[in-house]
Amino acid sequence: MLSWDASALSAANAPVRGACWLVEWDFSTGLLRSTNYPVDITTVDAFVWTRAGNALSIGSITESEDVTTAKLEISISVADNASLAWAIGDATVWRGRAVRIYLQLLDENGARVGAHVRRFTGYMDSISIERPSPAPGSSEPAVGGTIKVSCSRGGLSRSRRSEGLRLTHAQQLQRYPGDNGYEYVATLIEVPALWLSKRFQAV
Amino acid sequence: MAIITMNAALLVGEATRGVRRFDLHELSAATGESADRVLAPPRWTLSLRSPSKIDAAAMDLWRVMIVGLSGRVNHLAAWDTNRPAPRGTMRGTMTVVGAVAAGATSCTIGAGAGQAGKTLVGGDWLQVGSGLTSQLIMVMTGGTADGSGNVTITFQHPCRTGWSGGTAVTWDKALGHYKRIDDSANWSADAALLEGGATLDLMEQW
Repeated sequence: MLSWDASALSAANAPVRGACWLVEWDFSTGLLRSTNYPVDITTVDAFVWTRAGNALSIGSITESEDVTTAKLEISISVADNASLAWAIGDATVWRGRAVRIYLQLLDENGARVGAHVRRFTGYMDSISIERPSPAPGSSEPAVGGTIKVSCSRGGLSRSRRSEGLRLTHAQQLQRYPGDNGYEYVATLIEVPALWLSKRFQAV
Repeated sequence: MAIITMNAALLVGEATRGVRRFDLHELSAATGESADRVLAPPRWTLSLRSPSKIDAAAMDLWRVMIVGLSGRVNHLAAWDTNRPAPRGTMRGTMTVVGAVAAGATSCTIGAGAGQAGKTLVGGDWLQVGSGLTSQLIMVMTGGTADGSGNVTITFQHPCRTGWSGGTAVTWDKALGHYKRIDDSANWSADAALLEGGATLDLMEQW
């Protein structure tokens, strides 16, 4: 349930107002605060949220009374080199880390009104980078692209459905060259083998 | 990204200025009630057109400017060629008096006791700050400076990020920073080797 302070409630009821999203990324390298507003926003707690403008967009944030996990997709333009760097970099920086999204109301002059209100708390699950394909038969190269950060809300449902990460043979070799201990992991998982009891194995 | 400053000797055949707003307007068909959602700060727009027949030397200033912008990569710092200085009489070294919060539309401009009795009028351009963090504002309601040379004005567009007291204010060729909104440009020459036809469509970017 939204709970506005008096100033923000007044802005919410005004015929002219603005609003912007504030995204707090809890990376392992440090906290990053950004906003989809084209100007830096300083919130009531004196934190500065760096402008990303249209390079940042938030998917639909839903709420429900049940315990199903809500998923949210945050999109960032590939033209944002700083975001592209962490998106294609070490996954330990962002995977499973928290992301919090707040709503900040503004007046008709773009000034902050009242305190920001948290609307989503979740964790960054996966990242994909989508690039458009050139039109068939066209010599024009496709331009643009989007970094999509898939997030899910915390809670029991997320924990129960956690897929986790499986260590692969390739990752083990990367960490410990020459260690073939995980060589048959994929086969064991994907091709279940029927094991006979000791009695049936006797010749 | 570099800032290309408009050459003072540039011959401008036509300059069109305007405002671009980014509001979401909702109107009820049943009751006529409307609501507006401000999505982003408004931006100044600028369209420049060269005279149609100028010599190569004059056209060179256009060529250098257009090519130097590198499409939409670099900024163009440009002033209002029709109003390079305020129509009011206030001059001297202007600064912002007192801190101005983001979203404010009024402030006090000080220029020292030597400017007492001088005026700023509606439509005057002022540049608050310098570089890409500066903001080009238009005086809405001016006034007459008091004995200390201070005058309170209202302005548009609203202060974007806040100004501290003492921030420099430029009145002589107040600059706005723009980027092109298209990707291609061309110019032409006729049989008499006179050139022209160069255009630039720009929107404020910070």
